[in-house]
Amino acid sequence: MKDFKILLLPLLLLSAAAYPLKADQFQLSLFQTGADNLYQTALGTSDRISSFALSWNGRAGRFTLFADGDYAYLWRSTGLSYLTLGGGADYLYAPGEKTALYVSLEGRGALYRSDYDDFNYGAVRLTAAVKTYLSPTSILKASALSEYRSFRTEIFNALSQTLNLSLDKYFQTKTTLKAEAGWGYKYFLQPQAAGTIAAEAAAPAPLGGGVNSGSGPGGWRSGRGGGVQAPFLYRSSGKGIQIASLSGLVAQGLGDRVGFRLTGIRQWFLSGENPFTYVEEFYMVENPTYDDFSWEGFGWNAQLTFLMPWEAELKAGYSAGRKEFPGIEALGLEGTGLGMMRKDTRRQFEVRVEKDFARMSLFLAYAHIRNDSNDPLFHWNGGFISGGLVWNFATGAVQ
Amino acid sequence: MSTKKLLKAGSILILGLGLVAGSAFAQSTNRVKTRAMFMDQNGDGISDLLRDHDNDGIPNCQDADWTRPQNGTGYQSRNGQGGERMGAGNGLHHGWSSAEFRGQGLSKGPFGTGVCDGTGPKGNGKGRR
Repeated sequence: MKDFKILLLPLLLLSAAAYPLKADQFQLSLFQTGADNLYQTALGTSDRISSFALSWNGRAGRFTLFADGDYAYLWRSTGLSYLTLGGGADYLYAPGEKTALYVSLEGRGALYRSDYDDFNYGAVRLTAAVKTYLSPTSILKASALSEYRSFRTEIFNALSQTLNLSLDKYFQTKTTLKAEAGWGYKYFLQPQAAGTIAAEAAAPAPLGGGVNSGSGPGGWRSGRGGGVQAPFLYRSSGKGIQIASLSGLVAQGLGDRVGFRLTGIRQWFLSGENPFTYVEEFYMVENPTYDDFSWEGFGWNAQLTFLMPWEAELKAGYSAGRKEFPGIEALGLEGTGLGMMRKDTRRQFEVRVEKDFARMSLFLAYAHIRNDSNDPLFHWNGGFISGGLVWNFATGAVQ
Repeated sequence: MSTKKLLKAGSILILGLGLVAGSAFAQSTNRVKTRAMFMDQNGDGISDLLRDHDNDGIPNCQDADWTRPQNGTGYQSRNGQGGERMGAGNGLHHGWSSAEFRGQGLSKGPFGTGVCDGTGPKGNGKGRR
């Protein structure tokens, strides 16, 4: 029942949006993804995902209402299929041509099927942003985002706050420079509520402190060595994580139809560490051990973009990065602690072809990823292919 | 037809031609501005003002046929972030859109560094064996 309460706010917002508006704009997306290692672990499980998404927005006076829904079906691991819903309202105020202020309130929720329902969540998000043209070729942006996220498994409930400041500068030499600074704080409201799991595990566990077992609110899963173990382990030290990041971009046009860009990001932990030494299984879903607040390190990306005949676009890129996960320990395949913090090094090549029409886009993409980790479960490589279409259409008098 | 009427008709014709020529000049000026101005909000090195998604020869920013995607990325379907439009007769102005502000967050800056996967599902694999 609680799973449905999670989606209450997005559904209410969707209902509120049902009355006729001056102009409604819709976007329909269909995607298909397949890979020999879709879940990005050493186990190399292959699967396919078919997803369908619909988003809508419409004007209501000075406000824009928006809503979206996304259903993804996994063909082999059907128990991992999921539905996400979101909706909200935003307000844009532009006192002149140079500056605009933006405020948004939205609700968002996710429902996963049985294998995954610990991570069902509902969230409320408040965004405020300002964007101003310092000159026709210089843009300053600042934004603040506050979020409360409530999970079915309450120990993951958290408040978070992020601030971003960026400056873009364009030169007539077809050169683009961007710089961005970010800060974030995430506070876990009740990680100690891990109940019987926490009762044993809460003793300040040094890295490599071993794997706890016992029954927890998240239920049991098949664990390392084919046995049964807790899906997560909690340490008592710290409930708040503070991070900061700096990133930059340099892009250069090579003629009118070829562009090259180089980007880099560096992120630091300013205080705290992850209160969960691991969250079993859930690597790809956003969770406390794999989200914006879980890592420090750096990454870079180089990308070439070609505008081809018929305005098709080809992008080819290479990315590499190194991440450390403070508070999260590397474990052996049997589940024993290895006495060190988890560290990953990732290299990724990707290519993407896209054809845009007036109201529709088609794309086909391939990526090959190699992830080296001191946690053997996350030592893997795999190829991913995906394709799809996005169709924009409008009803009513578009303004 | 009297000389007076002829002069009147001639004046109207000249005025009309002047307006058409002026309009054409303004349009070509806009085109020149489009080409001269470099704006690259999606940071791929290619000017946003040259994109022409429906391939009709008119850049998106001047194209009445073209609809800005409403997916939060602004200028083009998935890669852009901007919100530029060419004005009808007064050159570049900023066509603000809520869509260009959506999707804020720590790792959703203007960079798309590839640090985030972008390739995977929200799904998940099995645990350790």
